[in-house]
Amino acid sequence: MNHEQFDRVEAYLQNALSGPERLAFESELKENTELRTEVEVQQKIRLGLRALAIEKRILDARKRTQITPKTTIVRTLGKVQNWGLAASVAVMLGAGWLAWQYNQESGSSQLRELAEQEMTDVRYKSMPFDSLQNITKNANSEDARQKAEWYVALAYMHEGKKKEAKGLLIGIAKNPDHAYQKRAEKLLKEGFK
Amino acid sequence: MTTRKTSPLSQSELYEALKKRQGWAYDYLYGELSHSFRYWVERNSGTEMDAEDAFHKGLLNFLLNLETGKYEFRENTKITTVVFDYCKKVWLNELASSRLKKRAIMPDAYDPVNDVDLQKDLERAETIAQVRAALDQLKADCRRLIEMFYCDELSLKEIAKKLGMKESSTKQKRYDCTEKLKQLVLKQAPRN
Repeated sequence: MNHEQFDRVEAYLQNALSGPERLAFESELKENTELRTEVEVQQKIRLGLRALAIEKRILDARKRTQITPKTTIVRTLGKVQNWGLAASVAVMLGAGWLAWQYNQESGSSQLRELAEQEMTDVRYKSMPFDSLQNITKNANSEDARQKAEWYVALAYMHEGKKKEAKGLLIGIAKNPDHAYQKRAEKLLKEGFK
Repeated sequence: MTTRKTSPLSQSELYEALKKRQGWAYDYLYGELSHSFRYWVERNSGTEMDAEDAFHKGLLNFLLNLETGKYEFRENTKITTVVFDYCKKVWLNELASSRLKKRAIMPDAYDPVNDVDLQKDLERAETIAQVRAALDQLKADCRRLIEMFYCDELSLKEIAKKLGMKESSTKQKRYDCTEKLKQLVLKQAPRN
């Protein structure tokens, strides 16, 4: 099979031949066994490679949507109980650390919950973080840029990145023209006291 | 200042996004269905691993049919329901197979063995395996070029830029590599 024939088969499989060209090709297909085999094998390769591309994307989606197990305070407390009285000083320090840890965890889970409540658009909610950030800079419409900015702030909240979330929310709340100004103000009051 | 209502996702938007292989649409299907499907499989004689395997196969069948035009979108159809059904059929077929026949009683009256569409979808797995094996045998530079062109759908111009080659040389190399892949696929194919 030469280059030209290869291109012709490819054009046929991509539906890129004109009506008459297609008819001529199909009538040739009936007569020419070699051409038929070529079409079949190219079809097979295209299908296989298409499937491999889809598989790759499915695995990427799996990776992105997988929830990382959260370390729970109960599990940490279980370990503390086994230390015993002999380590009372350590327990006291541990208790202090646990209280701090508890506050951190409950604060994070509250932020996550608040963010979840606000993430009502599944398209934006499911969007990879990089894509959201890209939209905040490059989208043609102001609406899209503002919405993406709002979701970036929510994503930070969801991941417990309080400082980053707060910075963005303050920016949104200070902008009277921002579509999410009121909601940013509300979130700042509820989640960042 | 008005707070605007965020628009709910329409089925046609999801369909179009899946056709364009947009990451968020894949994430949406994965996020919406993987847990409920696992729950369903576990209630129907399967394990977590069985569920993941059937879920991936069903999802792949659906997306391949969507991309090749075999699946025709209808406005009133909920895509997640369709995908769940694809995955469910894959698992019912596994249950009906000789490997698992003794494990459980079929939960539905549905007979997967006589579902022509399902069997055709599953037969494609053989082709995919052959192409995968052939691709693995290609030299790294050829494999990379083929993946960029067919899987990542980059143009020859974009590939040329990435590989630091002239566009004409990239075109020739793509031809040579596809020819090599073709020979390897033909070697893999079972002889009749």
